[in-house]
Amino acid sequence: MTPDLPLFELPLSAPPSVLLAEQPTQDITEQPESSAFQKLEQLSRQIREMETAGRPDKERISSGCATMDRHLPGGGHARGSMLELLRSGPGTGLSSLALMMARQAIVEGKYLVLVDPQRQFYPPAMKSLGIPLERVIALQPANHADAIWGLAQVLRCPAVGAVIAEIGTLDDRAARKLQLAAEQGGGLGLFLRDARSARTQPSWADVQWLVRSASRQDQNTRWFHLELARCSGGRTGARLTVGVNSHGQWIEAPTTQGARHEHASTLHLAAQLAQPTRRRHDIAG
Amino acid sequence: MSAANATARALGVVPQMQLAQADTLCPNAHLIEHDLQADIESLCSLAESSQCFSPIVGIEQIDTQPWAGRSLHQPQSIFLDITGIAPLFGGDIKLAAAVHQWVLDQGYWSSIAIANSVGTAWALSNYSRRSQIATDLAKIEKTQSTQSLIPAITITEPNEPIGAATYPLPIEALRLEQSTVTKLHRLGIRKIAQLVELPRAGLASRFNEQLLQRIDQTLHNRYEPILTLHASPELAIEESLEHPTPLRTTIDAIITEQIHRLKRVLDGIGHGVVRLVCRIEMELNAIPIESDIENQSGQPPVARIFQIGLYQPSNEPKHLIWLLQGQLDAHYSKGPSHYWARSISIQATLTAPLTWQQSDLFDRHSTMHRDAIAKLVDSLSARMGRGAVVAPSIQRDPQPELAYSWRPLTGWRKDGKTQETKRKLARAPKRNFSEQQGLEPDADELWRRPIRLLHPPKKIDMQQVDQDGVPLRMVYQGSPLAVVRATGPERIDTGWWQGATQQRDYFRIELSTSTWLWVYRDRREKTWFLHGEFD
Repeated sequence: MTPDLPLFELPLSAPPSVLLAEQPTQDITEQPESSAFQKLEQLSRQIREMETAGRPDKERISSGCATMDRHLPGGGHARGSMLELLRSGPGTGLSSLALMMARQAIVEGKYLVLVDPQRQFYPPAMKSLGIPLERVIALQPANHADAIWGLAQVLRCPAVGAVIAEIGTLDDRAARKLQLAAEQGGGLGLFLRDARSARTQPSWADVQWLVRSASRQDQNTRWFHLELARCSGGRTGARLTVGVNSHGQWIEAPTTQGARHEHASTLHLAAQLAQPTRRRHDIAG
Repeated sequence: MSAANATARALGVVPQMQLAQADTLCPNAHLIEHDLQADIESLCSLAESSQCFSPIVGIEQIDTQPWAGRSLHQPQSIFLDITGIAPLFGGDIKLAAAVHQWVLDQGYWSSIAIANSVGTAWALSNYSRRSQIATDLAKIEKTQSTQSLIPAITITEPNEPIGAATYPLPIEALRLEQSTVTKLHRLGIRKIAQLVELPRAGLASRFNEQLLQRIDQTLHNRYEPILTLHASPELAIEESLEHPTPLRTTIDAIITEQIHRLKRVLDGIGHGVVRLVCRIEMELNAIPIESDIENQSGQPPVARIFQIGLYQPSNEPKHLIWLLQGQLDAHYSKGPSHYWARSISIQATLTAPLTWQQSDLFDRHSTMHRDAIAKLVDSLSARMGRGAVVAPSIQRDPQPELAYSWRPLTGWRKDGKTQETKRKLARAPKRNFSEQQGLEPDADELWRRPIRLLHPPKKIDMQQVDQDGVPLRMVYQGSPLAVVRATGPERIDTGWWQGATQQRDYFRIELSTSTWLWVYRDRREKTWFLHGEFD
């Protein structure tokens, strides 16, 4: 536990992984490396099972994009989990990305709920993104308290496949409430946040993507640089470039740039499990 | 144009005028979009709460075509059946005055008529003092007070022949279609008195059924029912308390019991509640504390009305009680009141069969989530208000801000008759998007419209454009940025019939920061606007 990060700032889900992970790793250092690695694998699996015990099933929701799925544990987002997209600047394309990801979560007649206090989402564009508008509900709450209450209600509803909401500040209690609600309902919470605010505040999301808009010659495809800033049960730091063409389909970047980044930023799993607080500190500080 | 205030009318702006015409007459007008649903909603709640005067309250039933003389095709009058009630208030005149005062307390100005038939009452209240109402409203607007104004009340003599009072009124007072009125005007018939003298047989062959029906209803006492808003007797449960109570727990217990009783009745007919009204009669009972009296502004509340509208019929007591609790909480959280509950009633004002017709044998998924989503929508609407829980719909309109709308998911039907029981989300489900993906490269393809639309559009400082008018450099969020790429122009011109003509050249631009924006140049004002972000 690093001294400059007080305990109470950690999300409630973090302490079990901290306590469980730290003690065994000290024993393991004395054993041969291969068995240590196996032990770690087993422990990390146990942790993941404990962390996701409240979720309705182990099935994963694909993000719809094969490149992104490759970097997510289990090949997608867990049901009943929260996902944050971090905006590096205005007009980055966060809403489009969130809608693209939500498409996979609202199959089988489930609903998509948008929390949109400013009434800015533009339905014709959503339609061309392939969102079935007859299964879209928008909430236009008047204040923050209503927005949080509404979000919790929506996440708890099993008929809701995905929720997209812009999040400014979120205190610990509200965040935990949303997390529990999402686990109960089994939908996917897609939160759009400002990268700067997300760095200074604790996050409750399982996955955080830092999004930058990218520029390429093809004028009918929108390109994004994505960086996996946080991924519970997986590796962080992966960078990739994906595009969405004018038919609403994912396009993978033709260059090897993504792969190179991924290789350069690979972290050893053991290091993450042994010092999980350091990783958190990087994000929080 | 649905309505105009006196200032605008003085400049020549009248309802039913095109926005474009009004714009030229009164260019600085403050325009507010007409919200039909809100109008009907407030008329219905006024009708619900006017049950303090009569047990039978109804809203006028409009026809398929708007009536001549009406600018809006929506219900605008309330009927009260006051058979045998007037003596309780001390006579017709006192009753009318009480109703007038009550409507005034609700914040409206009224025109009231008491007559022997629905048709006559309608004609008199709408037409006998039409000019007086207009001047009254102008005065109220100018002075912001209703003092020294005489209430517009018309009462027929009890012994008068039916409909005689309407003879001097124009024929529009018969609730006729515009085409019928125009035809009669061409024949030189303007007053009801002239119409009465015409032979009935001739009217029947030359005009439609409606004219005769209206003549009969207004002048010959043909029975015309008042379609009430409230429930049939078995769906209304009322309980008077022996001693009035301020206690919330007692009220809760009574409501719970009443809803369970209602459920038993509904079970018998296989229906569920779509709209529920809970009415708590109040009585001044405790010794008022002075500070309370000071806080209390206006008239004492006679009754509190709590209404819930449901997204789909339900007869689950727990759900209904929970929805009502939300409204009661809001009322009782205002602190102690010296108005105590005297009687409590629960009415299912609208019910519908519980079972849903499954439209398609293989349409399993859309029916699967229906109950859960209905509950969610109900509870969200109950707390946040029905206007805050909406579903999108798309209109075919070239002007981007008119190409969509958000509709509340729980609501009234346009004619105010019944609530829309047909589920708004029960439309035929589209094919799964993955089947369509890439198959239909239609006109509105992706990246032609922004994901977020700003309304109103924001004025921007376009610093540099090339000779073709393509943007090169603009100020965005305080800093000047180069435009890396611009796609366009997409020229959008709107029709003159939609009011102020819009002539816009849209560009999708990409800034040096890789931000995608949707901007347009207004070709009339020669200025640039930011209309959306490809966020």
